[in-house]
Amino acid sequence: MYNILICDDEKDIVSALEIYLHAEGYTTFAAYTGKQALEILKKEDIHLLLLDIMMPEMDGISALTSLRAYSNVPVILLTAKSEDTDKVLGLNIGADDYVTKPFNPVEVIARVRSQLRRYMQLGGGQAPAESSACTVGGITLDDRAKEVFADGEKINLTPTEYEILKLLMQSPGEVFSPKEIYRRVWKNAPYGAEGTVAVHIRHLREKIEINPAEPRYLKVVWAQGYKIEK
Amino acid sequence: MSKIKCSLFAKVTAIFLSVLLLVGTALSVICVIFCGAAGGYTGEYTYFRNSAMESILRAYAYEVADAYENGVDLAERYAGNNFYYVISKDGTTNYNKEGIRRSVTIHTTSYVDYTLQEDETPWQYYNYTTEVAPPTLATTAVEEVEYFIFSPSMVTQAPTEEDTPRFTVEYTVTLYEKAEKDGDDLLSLAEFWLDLAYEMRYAAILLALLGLSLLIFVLVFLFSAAGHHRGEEKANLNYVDRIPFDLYTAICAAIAVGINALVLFFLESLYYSRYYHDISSEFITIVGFFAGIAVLAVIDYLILLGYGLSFATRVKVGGLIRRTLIFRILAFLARILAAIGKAIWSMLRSIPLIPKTVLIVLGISLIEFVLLLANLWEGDNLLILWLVEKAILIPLILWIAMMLRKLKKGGEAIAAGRLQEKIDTRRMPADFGKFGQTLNHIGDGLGHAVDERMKSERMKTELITNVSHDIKTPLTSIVNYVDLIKKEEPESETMRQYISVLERQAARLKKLIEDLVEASKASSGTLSVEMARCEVGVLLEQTLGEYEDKLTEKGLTPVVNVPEEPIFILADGRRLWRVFDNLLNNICKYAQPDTRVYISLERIGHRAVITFRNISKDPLNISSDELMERFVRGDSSRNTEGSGLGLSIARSLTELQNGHLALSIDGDLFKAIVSFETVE
Repeated sequence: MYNILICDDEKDIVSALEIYLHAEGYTTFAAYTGKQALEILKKEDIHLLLLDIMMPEMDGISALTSLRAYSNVPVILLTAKSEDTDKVLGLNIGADDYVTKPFNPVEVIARVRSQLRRYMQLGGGQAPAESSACTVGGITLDDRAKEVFADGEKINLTPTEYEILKLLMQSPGEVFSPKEIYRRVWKNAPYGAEGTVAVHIRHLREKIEINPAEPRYLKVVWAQGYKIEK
Repeated sequence: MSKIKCSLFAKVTAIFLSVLLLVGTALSVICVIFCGAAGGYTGEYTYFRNSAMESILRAYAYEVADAYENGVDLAERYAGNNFYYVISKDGTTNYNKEGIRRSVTIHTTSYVDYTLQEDETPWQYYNYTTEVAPPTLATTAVEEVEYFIFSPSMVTQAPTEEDTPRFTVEYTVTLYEKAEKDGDDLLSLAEFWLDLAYEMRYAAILLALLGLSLLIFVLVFLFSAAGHHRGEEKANLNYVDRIPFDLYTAICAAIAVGINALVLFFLESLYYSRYYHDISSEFITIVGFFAGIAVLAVIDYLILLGYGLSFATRVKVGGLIRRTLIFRILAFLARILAAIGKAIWSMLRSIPLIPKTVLIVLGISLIEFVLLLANLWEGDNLLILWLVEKAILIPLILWIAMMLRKLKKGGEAIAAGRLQEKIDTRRMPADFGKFGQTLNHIGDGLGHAVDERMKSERMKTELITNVSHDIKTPLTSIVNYVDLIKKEEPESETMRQYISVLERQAARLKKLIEDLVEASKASSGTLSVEMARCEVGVLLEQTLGEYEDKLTEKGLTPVVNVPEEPIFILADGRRLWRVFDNLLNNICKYAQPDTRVYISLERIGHRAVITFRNISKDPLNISSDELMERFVRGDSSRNTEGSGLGLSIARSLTELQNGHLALSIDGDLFKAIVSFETVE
């Protein structure tokens, strides 16, 4: 199976995570400072890194910066900071995902699985060559088979949800207002009925996102509409 | 160049040179003008010379005639002159002598007075016409006799000299210019200069132009060098330049007038003296006269140059007007007046406000009274005086009103919280200025207090954020290990119950920490807001979409009333969502299950108003203001989930986006009203 390195200065957190990951069948390595993490990364064949930001000796941000100079191993940040700016900083310097403390262990496992699937199965971030499928981030929509995969896992969608997702994925990054979505999906004039769009979007989000409250792909642009993150 | 400018020797040389150039140029110019006027450039030499010599001879001829009339011995007097003369009464002008160059003849008339003899009586001439021979001019024929009549009534006294008879005598004077000039007189002098002028008539034009340009050059140098001294960077005043300018002008003018008057008086007496001295000195007299004119011109030039150079220095150094006596006197007077004014002013200022006002009003009344009294005698100036008084008082009152307006504005600014605005007290006298300064001090003090408050708020936020970070780490372990215990699947039912309590409380603690951080950030304003144009209707729909399941779970039915036309406001969509999120969360927690929840959006005037209405589960015996306080909740037991910060966060976030959140409690009806200014 896969080797996962857990790096946090809090030993109890590391051992708790080890217990969960062992249960899922992963092999784990523990590091308590950024320096230790980098040493282990050099010696062992690590497939994923769970990295805390606030640590003594060398913090997560500088460890990640030096790691990214030679490796593109998936990194999930564990952070106590819930500030948007901190998240953006983490993603910008090369983290693949982040979990805010105090985290739900189930969510961490789900994110670990999702990152590993993408990294290992899709070949380290290389784009898939399937022509009939459309892929944005970890979401793949196969229009011929009418199938949707989130991080390689098949998702069951209702026809309406499928149409909404297809519409949004056709132009990633573009913000669609509820009225526009209603008109394009229901093919009807939206006389006050567009309120249902929001409900469908939420259901869709619950299906394709690991944490629907902090969506990675299907984002809410408040007071404007919805979009698929590029 | 600057070195030469500072050299005293160069300046003296330049002045000397300029005098020489002036004289030379003047002579050249005179020569050119004279030659031009006398035909030196157009006619032949003889014509040019003769026309000039003729005018001199004619002057001599009148002089000879004059001398002849006065009985001067002509032979003796004009022995040294370069002419011969003939005087005849019959018009003869023949003179057969050798060496005559040219001649001038004049006809002249002279009056001869008859002198009364001792034995004659005036009335003998009564109605009497006679021929009287002039007593002194025996050789002259009497050509005309004046008639004079004495009326008998007039004869009361002996006739005076004015009454004596007069005779008109006409005779001819002819002068012959000698070809060989053997004496020194005006003719020989003129001949010398005429010859010279004619010789030089073309060179003179050149000399005049050259001299003029050189003179200008030298003058330019002198004026640019004026005021520059050795070892000094800039132009400086010397002791002459320090004399006040107007005084200096007066001194220069006085010296010039004095010297001119003196020299001209001397020259005039010199000019007339040649009648009274013997002829041998005539030549010297004439030469002296011209030399005197030349010297006077040079002296005038030097005075003018000195004045001009000093003027240039003063202009360069600056303060020409300030360094005048008149200016100093005026400045001195102004200082005295200012000192007197200041003294009166400080006296007025030391009097307290009310007595001062009384004093001023009394003073004005007194002046009015005196003027009125004066007008009782004088009459009709009352209207003019009234107008003058108003013309003085109205601007004064306006000025006071304007200062009051400034003070009012300053006070209003402080009241409105714009503490940086200061009242400009520079042009406010006495009490107004003091009041303005006091207001400014109040503003400063308030600003200081507000700053301190903000600083402590920020520090609090920072502390809360840091502490919450530290709490989150152990909380993570708690959450994780509770979950692990759960995974162990304990046998006992009570164990499972305890675990679920732990789980619930851990979740609550997490929520509390997050809310705490958000509340402190929102209220201290450290949260960033990105204002943009937002469609409120869309946001409401999105929010309701998020909450649909939660509401259904509690049996709550939302009744939404959103107008057809879109309403736009300026807000940060993410933060406004948090506001609606908190309000709906509140509704889910505290609304009576199985009731309707009314949510409406409407445009009232220029405001978009979003109202959330629900029926409270528990009786709300608490005021809406208290509800908005931090950690206050509708239920006093504090047992349910929630931090008690939701409404406080919602209000802080709304206010950060320039909106307004109001709560209202009417029995069990709970209303939250969010309003924003609309934009197009």
